[in-house]
Amino acid sequence: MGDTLLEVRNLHVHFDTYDGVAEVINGVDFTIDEGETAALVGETGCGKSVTVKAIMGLLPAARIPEGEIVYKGQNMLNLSDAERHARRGREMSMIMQDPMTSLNPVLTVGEQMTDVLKWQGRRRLSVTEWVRDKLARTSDAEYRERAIEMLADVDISAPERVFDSYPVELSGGMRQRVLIAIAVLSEPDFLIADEPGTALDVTTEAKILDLLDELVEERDTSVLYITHDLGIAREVSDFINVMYAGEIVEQAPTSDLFADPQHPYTRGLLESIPTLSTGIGDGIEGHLPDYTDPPSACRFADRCPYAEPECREVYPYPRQTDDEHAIACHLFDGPPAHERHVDIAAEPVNIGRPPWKESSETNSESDAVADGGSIQ
Amino acid sequence: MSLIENSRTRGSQNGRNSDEPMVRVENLKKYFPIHEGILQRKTGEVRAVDDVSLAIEEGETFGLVGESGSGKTTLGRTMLRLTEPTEGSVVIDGQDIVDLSDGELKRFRQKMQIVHQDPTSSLNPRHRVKTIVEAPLKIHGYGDADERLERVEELLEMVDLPREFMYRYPGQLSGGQKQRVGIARAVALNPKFVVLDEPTSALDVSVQARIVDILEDIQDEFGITYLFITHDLSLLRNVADRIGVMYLGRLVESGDVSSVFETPEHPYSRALMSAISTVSEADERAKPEQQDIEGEIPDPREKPSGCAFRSRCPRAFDACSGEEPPMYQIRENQVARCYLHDDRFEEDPDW
Repeated sequence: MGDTLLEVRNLHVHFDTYDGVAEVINGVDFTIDEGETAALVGETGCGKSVTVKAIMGLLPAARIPEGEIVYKGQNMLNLSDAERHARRGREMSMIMQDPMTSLNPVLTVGEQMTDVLKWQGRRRLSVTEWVRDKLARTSDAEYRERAIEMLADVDISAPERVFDSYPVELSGGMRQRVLIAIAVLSEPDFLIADEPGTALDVTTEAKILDLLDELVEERDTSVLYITHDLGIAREVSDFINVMYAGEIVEQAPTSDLFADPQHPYTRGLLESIPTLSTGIGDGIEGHLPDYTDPPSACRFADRCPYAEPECREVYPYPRQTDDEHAIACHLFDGPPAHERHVDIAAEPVNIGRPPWKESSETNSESDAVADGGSIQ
Repeated sequence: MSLIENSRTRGSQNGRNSDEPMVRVENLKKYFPIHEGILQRKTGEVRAVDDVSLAIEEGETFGLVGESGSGKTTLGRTMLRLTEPTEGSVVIDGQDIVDLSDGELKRFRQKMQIVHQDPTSSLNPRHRVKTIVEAPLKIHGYGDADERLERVEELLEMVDLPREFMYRYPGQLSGGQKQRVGIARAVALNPKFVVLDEPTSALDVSVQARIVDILEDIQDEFGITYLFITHDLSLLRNVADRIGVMYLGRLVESGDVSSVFETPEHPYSRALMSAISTVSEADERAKPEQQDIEGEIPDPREKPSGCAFRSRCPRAFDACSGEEPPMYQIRENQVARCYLHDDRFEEDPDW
């Protein structure tokens, strides 16, 4: 693992709606190092996709009133559209969630792949460029060769045939492979995978994830996985950011998070997952807050079984409980995780220690879910 | 509840022996014809459900699992005659529903209901929750308006929705709340048998856990028999008493949930179980060793001869391309359709 590749700092994303301003992303911070695989985990509507679209610059309707997205030392939010366009595909690239709708049905796989190679970094061609492009027949053959090579790399057994196929002629798993091939075609340094495989069957999904893992390993690509499934995140990533209602509530290295989940939301989420050995929990009461009128303090307080009056009054700034483990909850004490909070959050709010700690102290570090305590 | 009993006596009364299962499916087949060409001649058929037999005891949950295209939804729908079976029999509460006339079938529907997968498209967006939940009560002539209102209130309470929701439209509800309305509608007439077709797959896990809880409470209270269709194996591990694994229209393995999960005996079941993503080390240890299978489920029109799974099976040998393997009784409560369990062949399931 090397230097920091991407750093998202205090990101806020707002949407103007008829009901007022929806504060969908409210101060998100995370970093991804070179060669690292991280995951952004959360349930439907928590802002995962908005966060990554902000990184990719694919949110024309949104306002970003505050925050920085620093990629290789450069704040992406200060770049012009053309400059950002030039980076998409070559520098950073994204695998879309739905293999059924993300490919153009009227172009062959080959056309869509060679387009990526031909057009990368360019938005439009001048007439002379276009003529030159048309005359340079040789380059087409080169593109074709590279595309077919890439298709073979994603374990497609008949790459030539797939190259000339239309998306409808391919199964869901094949289409997902094609999407992956397109995303890694121009060898990006940073790859965002938005729920890859969720639309597929379990056996196919497992294979797609393995394949992706191999590809990024070979190329030393940094990956950010977006998923609602903690089980998947556990398999594929080194570091996990848990999101709830537009905020990151807990971040920790994967092994730490599963050995010792801390935030009440993370714990509730983990317990809701049906397991093979210990059963299924009760789930989490209630639903996401309204983004046009979110709670001013903790956004999870209304659903939290441990909430105290202070939780609805004082904002829970993320605190560092361990070297790399940060939690946004008043149950935990520690120095503020981000420098900008040092002054405002110097004094921790004391609402007592996490109730599950007292009981689990005796049979300490056992398994995450086995030792989950009861949330309801 | 007495009203329900009354209305039931008007339905067919066949009396079921106490040792008879609540639901018995025998050699059920559903073939969809394929028409091609200008003359739309029948050129073949898709065997969506191919000779399936199973029995579900009263108050039991039978889990049905398989990949998309395996025919699990078609089986569930055919068992309720929402699609007409091609062949075979379905006996529910002592009554063979394949023989029923349309009128009789309609009356019988109060004993069998379904909860659909997508709560958004299975509720009429222009009807209020009250109208939706009341519909089955009206159709089957349950009481007068006041009694129906009382029943709707009772049902909403059963699925943990506040009374005020009666006057909301589906568009004003979250996914989980919509699915609760779907459940209330399905159990409105106190049915004996309910097909749950992926009732939680469109929901988040924290919501799913609560829906499962509600379904189990209702089952405990009223002794309803469930057919739980899902592709989520870890969910099935927690809700089902017995499970069946489907592949290309065939039941390839079935048995007690613990026995199938601990010792799956069909290579396909093993592959499915080993692909489960887990959240703890204990779970990781609880699943079988990784078993890779090749490719994806084939086009059902081009089903391989012999064992349908042989085109993807890592353990396939000569016999598999011959006749289709029968079900082998492996232990008291578990059967699997695989030649590895046949003593005539040398191959052994050495897992």
